[in-house]
Amino acid sequence: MTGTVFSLANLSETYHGTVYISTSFLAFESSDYKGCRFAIPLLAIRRVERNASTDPLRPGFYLAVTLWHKMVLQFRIRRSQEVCDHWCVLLRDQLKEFLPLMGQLRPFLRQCPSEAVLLNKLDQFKARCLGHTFGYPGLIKPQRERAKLRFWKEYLETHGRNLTTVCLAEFNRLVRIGLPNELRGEIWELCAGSLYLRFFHTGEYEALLQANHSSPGPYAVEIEKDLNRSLPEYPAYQSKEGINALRRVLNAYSWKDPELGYCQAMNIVASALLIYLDEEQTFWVLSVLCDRLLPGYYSTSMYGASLDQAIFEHLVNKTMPILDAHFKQYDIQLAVACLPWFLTLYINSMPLVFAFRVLDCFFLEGPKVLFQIGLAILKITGGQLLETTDDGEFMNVLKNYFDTLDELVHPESTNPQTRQLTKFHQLL
Amino acid sequence: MASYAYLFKYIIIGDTGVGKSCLLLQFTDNRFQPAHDLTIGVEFGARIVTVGQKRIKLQIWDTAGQESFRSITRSYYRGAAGALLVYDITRRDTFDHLATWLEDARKYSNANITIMLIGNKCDLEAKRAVSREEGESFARENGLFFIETSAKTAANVEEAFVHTAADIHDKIQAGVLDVTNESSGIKLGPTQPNLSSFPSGSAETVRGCC
Repeated sequence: MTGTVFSLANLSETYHGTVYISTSFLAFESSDYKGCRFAIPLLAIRRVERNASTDPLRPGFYLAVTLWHKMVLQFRIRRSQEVCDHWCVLLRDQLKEFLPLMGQLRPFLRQCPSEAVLLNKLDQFKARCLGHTFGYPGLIKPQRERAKLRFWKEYLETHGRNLTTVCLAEFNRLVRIGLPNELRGEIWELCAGSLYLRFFHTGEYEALLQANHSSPGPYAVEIEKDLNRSLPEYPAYQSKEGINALRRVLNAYSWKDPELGYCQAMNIVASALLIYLDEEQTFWVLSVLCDRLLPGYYSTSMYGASLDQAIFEHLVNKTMPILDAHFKQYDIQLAVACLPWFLTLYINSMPLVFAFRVLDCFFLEGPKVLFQIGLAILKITGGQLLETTDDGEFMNVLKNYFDTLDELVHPESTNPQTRQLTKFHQLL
Repeated sequence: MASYAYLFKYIIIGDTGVGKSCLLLQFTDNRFQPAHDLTIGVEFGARIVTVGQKRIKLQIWDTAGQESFRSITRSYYRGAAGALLVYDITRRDTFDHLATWLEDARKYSNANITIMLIGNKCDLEAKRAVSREEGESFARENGLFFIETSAKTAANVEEAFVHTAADIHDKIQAGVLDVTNESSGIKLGPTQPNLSSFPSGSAETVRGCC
């Protein structure tokens, strides 16, 4: 229903937009500049109340939707009684369908770190991702992590959590400053939408492993060859635990989608995801990547990646014509450097700690981020790139740039904030 | 920048997991790293070798071997002067696929490309699945050079790269390859200080002084 006004009962802000009901979700997207969106499984709804408006200046009907954790979503529907009645009947009937399944919610929530954050029990939470056991990449600054978690806790307390998160501009801001390690996996799942897939397909991953454990399948040999070539510098992949997890996820995916099967570069992406996600979570994120976010990237012909490469080159031509002309003059093939950026989501180009920040933005804003980052890299290094005369030198400039992403841009600046800016900040 | 007379572009091709990246790393860095990142698309390496009395810079394109990358890596064959076609002597299938690799190399690179067939992993004699004779005869039938190497022990690695360079150099001397043509995969090095007094830095002048 268009023309709906949404607000959270505990906050004063209102958002104009469209509310949707599907077979499994109640969803909203604002049409105003402020940006508000959510998709809440009907299973999480405990109560719906409808009242006619008594305020002649604000005609229509009020709908108050109470979620399992008592947060109340308020909608003002500016439609006739007939339309509103019809809509409410639809909602009621759908909700009834889900009554017998209510019990699925609790066990699922117990696996969510966000619930642990809200209960102040994160230290007792047993995450099953490799990072929890083998450490998260980069230098961890405990103080900064704690501060980030505090911001997130505040946000989750007032705007819902995991399956019931209402995403506002503040949510986007918190993602962009870099996710705290403990919540990163869950927020990725939420942004990608795979959180819902996993919720509605509980047990499917395990079942796939069970059903196929005696028949390795046509891709097992190829997968095996690449297990030791997936982030080998990360400690988990020097151990059986990490290698076995990666093997299971990649094989399971090849069984789920035999037409796609396995394609090199998927191993890099999967091995990176496993640092923050457990196997089942990684499996569903991969599924969203292959089906929706990056269609055709990991197919036998890689048509999706080739197409995006062509689009990227067109964008370079439009936005940086001098650089583009230079590449053409010296027969430098942009794809040599850029194709791996897209295929591995920058994971094997940048130091991991920065690649994960890019992934944060990628899951939040979608594939356009890959293009934006790529164009920014070329723009920042443009001066040096104009001095290169063959592909080898071209690659060296970029390699050197990635290796020095943690360097300061303005070390001499008198402004302390400017002084702290690294090349990576500049890139983002 | 170190000076050199020529720059040769090489490509390394062959099935996935035959040891292409390890050969490159052994050649450029003199080390063997069994656990390294998978090659996505292409990786680069460079080293200067001496052939005759000339310093030659090899710019080596190490390509991804999986089928999916074939259509993409084909565009990297363009302008290669040398190709190292690698198979794994312990895996028969990698030898059986040589014909399709060769077909691609002939089709997408220039006609005078020098191709070296490499049977890698010759340190694993106990697991050998392709005899040396088979490799030799495939090379003979198709007009390729042939050598067996081990990226692990470094056996013959240097030879594989240098022998290919020597053949390309011979082709230049014989006038088969035109160094002024970009697609030949050969470029003249930056003008060398000891030659700066010559009126022109053309190929003929450089050759004349050596």
